[in-house]
Amino acid sequence: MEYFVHTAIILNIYAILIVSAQLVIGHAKLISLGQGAIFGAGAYFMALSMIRLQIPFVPAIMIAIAGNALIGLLIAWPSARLKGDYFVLTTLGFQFIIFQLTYNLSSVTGGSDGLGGIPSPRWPGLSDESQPYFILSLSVFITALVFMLYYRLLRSDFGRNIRAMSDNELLYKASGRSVIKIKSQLISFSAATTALGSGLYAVYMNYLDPHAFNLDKSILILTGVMLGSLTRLRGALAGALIITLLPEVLRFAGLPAAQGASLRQIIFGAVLVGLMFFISWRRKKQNQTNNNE
Amino acid sequence: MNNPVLHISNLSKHFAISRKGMNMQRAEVLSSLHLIVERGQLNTILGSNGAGKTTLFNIISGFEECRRGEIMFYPAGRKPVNLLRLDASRRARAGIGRLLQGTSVFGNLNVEENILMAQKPVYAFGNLFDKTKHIAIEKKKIISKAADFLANTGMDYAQSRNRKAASLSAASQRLLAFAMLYVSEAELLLLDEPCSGIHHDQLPEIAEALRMLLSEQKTVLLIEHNLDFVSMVPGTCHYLSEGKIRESGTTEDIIFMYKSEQGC
Amino acid sequence: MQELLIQILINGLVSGSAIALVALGFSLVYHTTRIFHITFAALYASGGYLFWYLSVGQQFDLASSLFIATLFPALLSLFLWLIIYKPLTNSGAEHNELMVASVGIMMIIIYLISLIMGDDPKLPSSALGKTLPARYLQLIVNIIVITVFLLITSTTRFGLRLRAFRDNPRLLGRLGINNFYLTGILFLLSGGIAGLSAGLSTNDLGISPFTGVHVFINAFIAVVAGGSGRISGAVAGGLFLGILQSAVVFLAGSEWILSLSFAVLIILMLVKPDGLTGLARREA
Ligand SMILES: Nc1ncnc2c1ncn2[C@@H]1O[C@H](COP(=O)(O)OP(=O)(O)O)[C@@H](O)[C@H]1O
Ligand SMILES: [Mg+2]
Repeated sequence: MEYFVHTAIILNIYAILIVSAQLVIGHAKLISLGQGAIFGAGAYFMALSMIRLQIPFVPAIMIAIAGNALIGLLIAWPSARLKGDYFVLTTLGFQFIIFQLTYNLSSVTGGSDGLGGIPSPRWPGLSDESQPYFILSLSVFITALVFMLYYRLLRSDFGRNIRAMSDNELLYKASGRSVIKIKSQLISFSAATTALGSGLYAVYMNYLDPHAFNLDKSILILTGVMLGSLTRLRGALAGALIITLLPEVLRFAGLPAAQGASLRQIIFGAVLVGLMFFISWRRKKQNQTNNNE
Repeated sequence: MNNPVLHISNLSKHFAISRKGMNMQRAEVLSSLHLIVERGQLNTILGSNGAGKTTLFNIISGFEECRRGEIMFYPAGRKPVNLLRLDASRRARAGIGRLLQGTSVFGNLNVEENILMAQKPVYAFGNLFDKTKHIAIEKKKIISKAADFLANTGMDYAQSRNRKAASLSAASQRLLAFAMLYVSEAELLLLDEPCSGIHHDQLPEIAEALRMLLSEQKTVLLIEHNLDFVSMVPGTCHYLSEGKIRESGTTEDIIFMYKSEQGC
Repeated sequence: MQELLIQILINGLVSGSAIALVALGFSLVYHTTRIFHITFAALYASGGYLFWYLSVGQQFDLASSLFIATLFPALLSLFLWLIIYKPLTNSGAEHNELMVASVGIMMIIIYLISLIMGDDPKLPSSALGKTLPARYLQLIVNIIVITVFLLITSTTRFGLRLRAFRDNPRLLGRLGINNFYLTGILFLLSGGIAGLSAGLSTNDLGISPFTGVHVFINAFIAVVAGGSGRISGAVAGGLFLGILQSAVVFLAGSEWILSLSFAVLIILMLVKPDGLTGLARREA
């Protein structure tokens, strides 16, 4: 049962991370290799405000959201102004910068020892045994909230503008809208909702390790988005399910732990390559049938 | 006469690398170009392939950088502005509309969404939570105006509103793009080859759409290669060659001149 | 004081020329095919590890270790183009899809390496000479290779085709020059440069699985800083970045190198939006 609760909480966190990444990678068509670092930044904002500033759960998560929104703007600032592949480069660089910051600023972040002692929010009068269930309910609640938010967002003017911009930037500008502005807004918004996943992670694990937010995590999130769906909310959930369960399946298959981590990344890499072959093959076939009609 | 909406003076543009061929020299596309566009009229620009017509439009729209020259825009009832000082999206908001060469609709958006993109942008996160009443009313107004426009040019809005723009025929896409300009608040419209890729039989529909734009008191600057079409919509005509407006006059005269220069 | 300055300058020239060489190798593929070829980082890592395995593990001599460490990534690069990029492009893959595929291959190669070799950093063998000669060797080879490439691209027929290919790949095809062989040669050269550069740097500093990615990021920034589109721009950007980095390493420590590179990128965009050589195109 404990194992089930643990997996369910992780699933919820991944669902939040993937639906947030979907806005950037799927809807805006900006490939990001820094989602893991954004996730980590939110978690450290959360943990540091709770530990160092003794702030309770709700205001702390507000701080994490605001902090991540700022980080989103920081990432968007150079990359939205330059054409081409600067977004993927900036996110990749940011991935390493955040790692170096959390790893090297050990007086603040605990460095390689990690950051422990993050308090969990408590429901008054609830016993210790029920605590995981409380965190699970909290996760489900927040995840539902995030999905509802994205449901509304994608059907609003903002969502339409994002799809229009990624469709035809030149025409988007010709319609009087600023590409830089909408990119900054959507990247910042996605980082802000990622912070909700970070907050849950921090208070559930009670401990942060810089290695939990490295490039592997970013690739994992990218794979989740690609596997699920680039645009559908349901797909984000499916993607989260796959990347949560795949490592468990591998573990049951009896892979030795030492090589397990590397093998998992190799599998994710192969999945990404295979998926790209599948997608372009499917589109080619579709085009052929369209032409025959 | 003498109520200009656009006054271009001394405009020069060169590209650092000539992308045609392997020679890497400076290619001067526009050199000290002058052009005055009168308000509410149709102005057609003729010129051979590669004469720099699209480049001129791109400079007016702000898609192409240009530091030499001046482009004064005189919006009705507002202060004149030098367009070269604004970025592309501000120019559009100041009142410059554009029909891009080729595709000028958002292919992944449906017809209704495309029309809504012609609405003045609402900033911040739009009306994400609060469906503000006046914005909703504004949307309805724009959509019904666009539906009327499309009906007049022979396209049924109700039937196609939920279809992706990319799935429409070339002519329907073009009409949709016209509808977007029609309902927008733009005063000066730059139309880059509205007839390219359109079947000859459908030219009257495009011409009708163009006349409707003019009937809305909009000023139109038109680039078109199809001389049949240009003769359908008479107005002032300019001949662009060697980076300058070589001659301005009636459509008939300039077409005659253009034909004789092209040697056909 | 003066010795310190000279030391900073020499270190800067070494790392600058290394960045410039890597930027050159990357831009060979990137500026012609427009593929965001991040697999380049993994090719670099494969060259570095192979060099380490041969020179330290198997006691090969320096020249043959370097040779094999150059040859293998070159062939791997060609192979990956043939079995991944080319079929993907043929079936009409979009830019983003090629990019994601490239990320996938990078992950596969890097984690295969760490599966086989372990993920601890591999240090250079002191038997191959003190670090100072290793550093000079790196500097000299970097400069020779870069100069040869600049000469080739600016004077020979091959270089002319290369520039024409970069400007307009389709036109070149119509002129009857075979894109297939040219692209193949470019991938081969690019992979070879990755391996050579990795071998030289491993000989000096050692290697770990993600060194290639760091080097790749620096090289890309150098390409941007230099003003994209020209190989000489990438070289200028690399030298500039390298000297700046070695100064900062003395002042603040090596852990801040990457953050510094990004600060440079951002400041450059503020003061010189077109890059050092002024050819980059900016969003209006
Ligand atoms: N971005 C660019 N870089 C280099 N040359 C360009 C660029 N855009 C256009 N040109 C060149 O400028 C000339 C004018 O092009 P254009 O304005 O598109 O002509 P047209 O009158 O047919 O619309 C052409 O010779 C074209 O090759
Ligand atoms: Mg044109």
